[in-house]
Amino acid sequence: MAEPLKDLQPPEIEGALLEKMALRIEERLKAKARRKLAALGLGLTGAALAAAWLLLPRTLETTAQTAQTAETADAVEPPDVEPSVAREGSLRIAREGVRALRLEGEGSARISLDADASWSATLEETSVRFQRVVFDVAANRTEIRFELVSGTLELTHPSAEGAETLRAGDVRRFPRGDAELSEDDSSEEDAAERDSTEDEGPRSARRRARPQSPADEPGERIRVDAFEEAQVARRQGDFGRAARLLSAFVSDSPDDPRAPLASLTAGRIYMDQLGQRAAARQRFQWNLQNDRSSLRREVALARLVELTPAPQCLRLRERYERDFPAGASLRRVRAACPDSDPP
Amino acid sequence: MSANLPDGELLKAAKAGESWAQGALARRHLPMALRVAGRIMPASADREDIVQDAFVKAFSRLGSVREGDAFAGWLRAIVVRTALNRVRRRKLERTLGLQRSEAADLSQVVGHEADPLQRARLQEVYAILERVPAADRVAYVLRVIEGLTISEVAQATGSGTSTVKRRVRRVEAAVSALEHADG
Repeated sequence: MAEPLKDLQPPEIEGALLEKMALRIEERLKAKARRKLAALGLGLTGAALAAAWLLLPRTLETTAQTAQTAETADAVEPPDVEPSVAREGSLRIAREGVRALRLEGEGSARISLDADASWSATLEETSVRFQRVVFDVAANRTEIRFELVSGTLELTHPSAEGAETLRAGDVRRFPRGDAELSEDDSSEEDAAERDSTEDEGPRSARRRARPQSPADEPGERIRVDAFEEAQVARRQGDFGRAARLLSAFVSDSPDDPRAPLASLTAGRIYMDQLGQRAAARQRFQWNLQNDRSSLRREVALARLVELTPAPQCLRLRERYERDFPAGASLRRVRAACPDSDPP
Repeated sequence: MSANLPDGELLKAAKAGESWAQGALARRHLPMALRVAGRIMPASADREDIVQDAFVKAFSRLGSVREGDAFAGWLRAIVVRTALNRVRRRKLERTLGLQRSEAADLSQVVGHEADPLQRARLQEVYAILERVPAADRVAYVLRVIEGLTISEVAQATGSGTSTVKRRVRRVEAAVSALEHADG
């Protein structure tokens, strides 16, 4: 075995060089701190602008609604999102302030918003406000908020089975493309809004037509919705179902951009929650072969090392050390698969 | 005053955002960092860049050092990994024809008073190191030239001890082959 060279003198390093280097490091750290502050400032400004953007329409709307009377219902301010309306009977349509619409008279109407043409509302002797369109950036979904003023409203959506019936005083948010929001998904804002609605009068019937589980149905929708369905199952602690849905999603949609994340998540669930090592190994191997994200490949490889008994794990460990020499799971990998050689 | 404080105390102060403590830690460990980086990459002017990058990384992640006494080893690992990345990049650039090979500048490896025979041997060793994989080169330099133990090399490179041994052996075989050819 190679021994260190004996009597090797260390190289001379001048004091001036040390001083120069110390100063440069200090400068770079200061510059980095300045950039961080600037980024933080930008982030705060962005957040303030976003908050202003979200709050402004509501403020305007409230102001408009407070000021208006029955006579001023014909206010001419057009809604930002112009709904297309097909009507029958003697319905009269009036715009109310910003993004608000009132229908009066008798008959029925079918209304759809340009922003999300898949939504429609069938109204019978009903007055409805299209309160606003909410862009849910985090989930990358558009939601439309309805406020029912009087009568009964039946809502239908292509991806929801059955229909939703709302009664006067109800306020709901509906995500586009999803069958239903679970309770966990509703925002605190919504909860507060529901509470305030309940305080105002007798509790309205709040039946939600539960859609069939997308995973129970064949066809395109299964592949589209299984991922979301799995997330709900996972949050509810139904890990077996979550893992099955995620695995099915990967098999059905291997080219979907969410497939690698689905595979890794399924592997983790099989390993951590269900103790199904073979199934977990299969998922992590899928990531190693198909995932373009080195971060996820690193996690998958580390997990595979942990799942593989010695001495077979040594080859995988070596691969991990070669591919991810500064990997975050290095210690775990070494602990899971220690050296077999004597030190 | 700060010169007398142990690493642990300086580290606590540096974590609290005291810039004087960062400066003191930098001045204390710069010689080691420059020596290690210079020995891994003696053929280029990259040494100072490597060390600067390593210190900036280190001071940005001070929270991950738990014990002050471990600071030197932790910093050395960062220097080594930064240097390893730089070696790999240089090799790639040479492969693509963007860089030329340079002879090792031994003033970054040993003192001026070193034995001429030893210097000649080092020159040959570095010529071989130019041709071996980057990880092998780093392991060999840390073990044979920097004089670290196998476990210290393993810690600095983030590899297992058996991997380190294999890497050192591979370079050693190449060096022996050259010696036999000369003999």
